[in-house]
Amino acid sequence: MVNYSLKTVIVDNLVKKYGKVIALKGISFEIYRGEVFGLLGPNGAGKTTTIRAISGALKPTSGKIIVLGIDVIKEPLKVKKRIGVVPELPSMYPELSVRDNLYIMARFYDMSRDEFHERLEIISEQLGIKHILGIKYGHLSKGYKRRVDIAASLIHDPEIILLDEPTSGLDVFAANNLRKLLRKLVSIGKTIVLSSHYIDEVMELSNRVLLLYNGVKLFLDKPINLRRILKLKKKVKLYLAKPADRSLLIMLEKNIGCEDCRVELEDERVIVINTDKPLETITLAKQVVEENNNRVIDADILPPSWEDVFIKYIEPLEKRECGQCPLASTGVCG
Amino acid sequence: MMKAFLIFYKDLRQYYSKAPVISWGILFPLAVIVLIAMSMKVYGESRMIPAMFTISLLFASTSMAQVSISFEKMSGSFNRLLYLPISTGELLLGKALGGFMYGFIGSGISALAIYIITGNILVIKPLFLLLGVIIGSLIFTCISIVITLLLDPIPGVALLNIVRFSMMFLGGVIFPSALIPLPIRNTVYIFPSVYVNEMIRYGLYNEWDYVDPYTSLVMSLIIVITLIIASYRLIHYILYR
Repeated sequence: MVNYSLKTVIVDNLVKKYGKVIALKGISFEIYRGEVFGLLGPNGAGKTTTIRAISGALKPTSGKIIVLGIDVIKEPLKVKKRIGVVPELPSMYPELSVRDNLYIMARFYDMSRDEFHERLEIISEQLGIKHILGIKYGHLSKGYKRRVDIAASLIHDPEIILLDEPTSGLDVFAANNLRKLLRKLVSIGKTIVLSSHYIDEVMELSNRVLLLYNGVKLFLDKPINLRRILKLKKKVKLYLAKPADRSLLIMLEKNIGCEDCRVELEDERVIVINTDKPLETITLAKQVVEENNNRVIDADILPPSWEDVFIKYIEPLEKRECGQCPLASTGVCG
Repeated sequence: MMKAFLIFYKDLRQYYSKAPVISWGILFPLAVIVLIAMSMKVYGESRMIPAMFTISLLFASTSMAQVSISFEKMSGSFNRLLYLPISTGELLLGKALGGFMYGFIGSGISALAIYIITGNILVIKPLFLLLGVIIGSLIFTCISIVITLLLDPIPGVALLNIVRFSMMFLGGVIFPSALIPLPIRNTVYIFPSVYVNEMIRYGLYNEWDYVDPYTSLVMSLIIVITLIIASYRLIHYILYR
């Protein structure tokens, strides 16, 4: 459960410059206890820089960061003792066994041997790594390496866990297991900061999402509100008996009777229509398709994907079409 | 301090058997020792035996630090250290300890090889020998740390080899000053190896060539302090920039 009265992280007007490049342009936000806080944005948006700044691994150019009541800039070591970070790349020592890797990590946090064994018992159970403790880290699959990386960040029982692209490079099953694990961590009261460019993953797991672009905060709210603000259309998918031609698409655009409906060919037998009124669209589209000597054999109604949401926000910025961006007033385009 | 030992312990377990450490840190100096032993009659025992010590120290110390930092930079585990509650000083000490210990092991192997070749080891001033080995090991480790931190792994190894071979052949280790033409002889003083070698030589044979042993000690201390400060600042800058 998120405790909205307890702030675990306060970031105020954070700026980070690397020479002439400004990675973060004065972002501010707060994270609450028990929250899953998603950081979203394309490559170079400033997600990793934000994670590194919160964890005390880099010194901001200006601004303030308070983590668990401690000023990160003044006392980074104190903060590091109470948080756990899972970096983007597998980063343990390949020649050492999983157990030895975790033991070394535990010793960095001043844990005794007994404390380590006690904690290892719990974590290896939670993460399903009990059977690989004796295996060298370098011999593990990507999925298990990721689990061990997470175990290393949890060994000292931190209050906040920061994960940078945790499912990057994992197969579907490993990524799914990892998501389950993150939910489990939330259920035991941990605060999680999750950075990813897998939009659906962040949207599905997060209580709130911070959308970054070019070092600027574009949006910070619950995922559902982002979808609502953008008023995105639903999608109708039509599966045809025969391949569709260009003339059918033009006919559909003219005749399905809604303004600004986008008709696209996903496959030669699959047509996608963005629409406000999916049922009406299906009825009309069926008629048009039959008039065109084809037949609709099945139809689906899908909600707008998070990718659509993201594209709606980011694409105009990438193309420098500021007027079309819902948050052009932030000045990110200039 | 305990965390510095943890880094050292982990580096030893992770890297001591890596091919570049073995080949550059042990096999290459051994090959050089054999070559030197074969040519000992040309330059004399009192020049060649200290040279064996210095070369072993140089290659063993630089190999360990270079390999451990390069591998970690490539694998991303060096960045992981950023997220751990370790101070810059602890990190530097941890990394330096590996090179330092390997330098000691290298000079131990040299001593053994010398014993096998000559049948005895003459140590006239043991304190100077010890100071030469300790300070030399620290100097060479710090040089390797600075180069490896500043450059990417491949250009880093290339530059480190240029520095190593320059010190070996132009840094007053093998060739006596009388054999080196004057303009080049003056450049010897920019290489820390000359001061380390003179201390070791003084310790073993009570002899010196380019610089007297006490000046060598002072110069070595100035160099080692400068290098430690430079390494500390560099690690701090790289880690927290």
